[in-house]
Amino acid sequence: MVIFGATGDLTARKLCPALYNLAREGQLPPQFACVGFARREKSHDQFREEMREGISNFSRVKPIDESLWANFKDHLFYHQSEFHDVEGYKKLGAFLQELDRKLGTKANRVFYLSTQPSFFPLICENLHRAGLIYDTDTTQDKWSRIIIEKPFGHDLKSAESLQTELMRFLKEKQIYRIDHYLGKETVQNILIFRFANSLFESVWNHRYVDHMQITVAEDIGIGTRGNFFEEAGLLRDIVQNHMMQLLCHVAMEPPVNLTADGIQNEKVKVLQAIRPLLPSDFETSCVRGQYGPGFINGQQVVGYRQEKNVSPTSNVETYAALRFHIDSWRWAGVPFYLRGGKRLPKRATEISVIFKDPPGVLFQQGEKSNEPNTLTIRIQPDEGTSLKINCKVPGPSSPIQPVKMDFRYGSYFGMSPPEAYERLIQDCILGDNTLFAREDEVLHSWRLLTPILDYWAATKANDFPNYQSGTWGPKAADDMLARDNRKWRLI
Amino acid sequence: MTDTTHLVSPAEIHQKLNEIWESLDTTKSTRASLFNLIFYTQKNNRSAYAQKLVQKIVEKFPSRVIFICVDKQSKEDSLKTEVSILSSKQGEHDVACDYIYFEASSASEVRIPFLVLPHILPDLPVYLLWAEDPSKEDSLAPQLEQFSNRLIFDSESTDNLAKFATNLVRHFEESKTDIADLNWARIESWRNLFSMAFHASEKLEHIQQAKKIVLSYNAQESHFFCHTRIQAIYLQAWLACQLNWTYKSMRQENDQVFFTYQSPHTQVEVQLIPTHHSTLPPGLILNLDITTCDQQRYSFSRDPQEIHHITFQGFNAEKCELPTQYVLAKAESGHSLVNEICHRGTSTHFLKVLHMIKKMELC
Repeated sequence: MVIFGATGDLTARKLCPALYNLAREGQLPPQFACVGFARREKSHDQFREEMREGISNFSRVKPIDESLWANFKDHLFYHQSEFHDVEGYKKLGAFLQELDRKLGTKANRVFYLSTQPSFFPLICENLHRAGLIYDTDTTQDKWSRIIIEKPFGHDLKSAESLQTELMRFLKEKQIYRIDHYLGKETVQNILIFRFANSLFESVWNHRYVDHMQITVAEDIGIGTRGNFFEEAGLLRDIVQNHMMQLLCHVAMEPPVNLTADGIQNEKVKVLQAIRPLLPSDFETSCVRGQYGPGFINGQQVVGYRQEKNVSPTSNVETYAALRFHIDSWRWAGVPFYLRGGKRLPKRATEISVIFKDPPGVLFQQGEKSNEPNTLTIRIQPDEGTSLKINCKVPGPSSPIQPVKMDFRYGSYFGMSPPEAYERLIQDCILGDNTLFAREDEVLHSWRLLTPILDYWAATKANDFPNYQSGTWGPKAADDMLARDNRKWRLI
Repeated sequence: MTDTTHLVSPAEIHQKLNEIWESLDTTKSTRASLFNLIFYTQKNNRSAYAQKLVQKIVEKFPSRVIFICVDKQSKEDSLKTEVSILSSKQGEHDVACDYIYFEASSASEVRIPFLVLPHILPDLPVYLLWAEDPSKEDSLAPQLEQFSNRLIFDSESTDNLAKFATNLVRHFEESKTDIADLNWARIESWRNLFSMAFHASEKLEHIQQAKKIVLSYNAQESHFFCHTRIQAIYLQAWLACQLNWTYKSMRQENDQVFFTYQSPHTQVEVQLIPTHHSTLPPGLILNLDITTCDQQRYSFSRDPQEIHHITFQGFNAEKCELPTQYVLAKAESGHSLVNEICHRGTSTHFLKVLHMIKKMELC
């Protein structure tokens, strides 16, 4: 496996700890090597030392196992080169062949592109020119695959253009578009929860579901990613990929089988069925926000415009809330509300299915309805599922109170689930792209969101910053649901 | 019954609570949360009472407690965060719940809503017990109210009950959030008793003919209670509302208060008489006598030895009914109090009472 951009944060924080844990659990073949490819001068040992620190700090299992590390480090290497330097790729090729001989890696390659997206075509072209990408039509005994980090383009046009570029050197089955959300156990469990339990799937439709809410909340700000975020914004950073994937998982029909195509076909159908937002919807079904100063964990934090590498008059959104309708038999009339943001009160990714009120008014308390049944799938943290039901409070009178039935992964299975990157890297090695995004998924997602991005880029948000750090976003997002007589779940 | 308290930074609250729970014997302790209880009080001589009240509530209904104590006198920028668990032994098992404590100076109270929000348990009701006078403006109140399903006040905190009532009515009308008051909840058993005693239609007709009511209450103040006549005022106002009387006036003579109402039949006078019993809870309603236009009398008297026992008797110049003894629910011990303040919607009776009280020249 060759990691391009190996001196970046992702390698030390996620990729190497993932490889280490795969090795620890015996999931990595002994004939394996990881080569860091980056521009900075560095020795193999320096690279190994940095990775050791990354594993020590960020591995889900601590402390580092010294005997395992002693062996694992011998499979880590570093290769210095500029991304545009063709010679560097040729040298890389020679070095990989040397490793094949030494470690018996059999010339199978995973190229992990953890670089700025603008380098993706260049790196693929140079890999191709150096003969490191095999032609799948003529090569049977070895394989080469490319993992591409998000974002895949920054709008529909650029995504299409990137896809065209990549297809000059690669076949679709060689491209693994990673969205680490898909590697999370809790996301994979959505399909099992839905389709392995008759209890829930039978009510998973417009007859019983009032609406759905998908929340991806982070309490952190943009940190050192000011430059990136000024270019991207939240819609590109979270909604286009993670949130649309979650939406697909909760809304899709049962696949005909569990193959990659079987599942991806159904996800694409969801994206195709989402009613595109028209210009007249942009003010009523889309809300953008930007955080101002506030408090997180009792500490005062600055607003987005005061962050490093951010324009003091920035128009970039750090919060987005959207309302979608899926024009399908199953979901007719059921709104899907999505919200994501930075500097919200807590880190939480959750999907909530809010069910319709029961008929009749037998147990209504005055003018108020009882709380609706709510099924919540907690993606992270505190992974699990909960169901809110109404219950009689003990005693002679009959006040009704909502109570919660809760399933927690941590409590039940007593183990921390593997990191998403572990599963995804392993799947790529095994050639299973079920948990990766297919070209048409990505393009459909961009097709839905690009008009919103264009509208937001063309109209200045005069109310920015419009929410305080540490609150649940701008009032306009509450108003959007209030107009539908609904409200966001308090998470 | 607060277990060991741990001083933590706000960022560590969740982690520390999990650590505490992991350290417990889970076969004997059950972590329970029926609702979120946000308790706000200022640092004063009633803070200890507030803690006691919280303990009472969670013993009956274990809930996540977020206790906020603001020291209005302190001008330093200080914030203290503690976590612990509150437990109540029930048989062999401990049922316990999370307790998060924030103590802030007035300079740092601006941080409080931001600290509270991440620690509200989703999908469970949020009850805000505001132990201070809602008539006094406090910037924290609207911020905490906005994520609360129910506002529970304590009229003991007010020096002006009419203003308090006006505020509660406004709160309800503006926010449509359920409201309750601890003193109203404390007289729930008396209200139930009246309903039982006057259930029969002939008795109900009698009481509608009432022209004089004398009500005595314990005016002995304690460290925590000094507005001892509120329960008595609530009870007589409730009777007046239920019997469709119109409030006319009130006057004070020495330490006694007289209310005048107009009933469909006659003018009614209600007299509140303070008595002093150091062994009885402050504000406790002791005796109540009703005299009707035709000299029918009904008497409720509390046994000072068995304070939950009430003897009820009806009599007139010609005949005397056999006394009936009722046992009041032990409101102050938890269950019915919590039921009243936490689980019921806003009582329409309570709203009527508030509307009546806000017209009174009480202070």
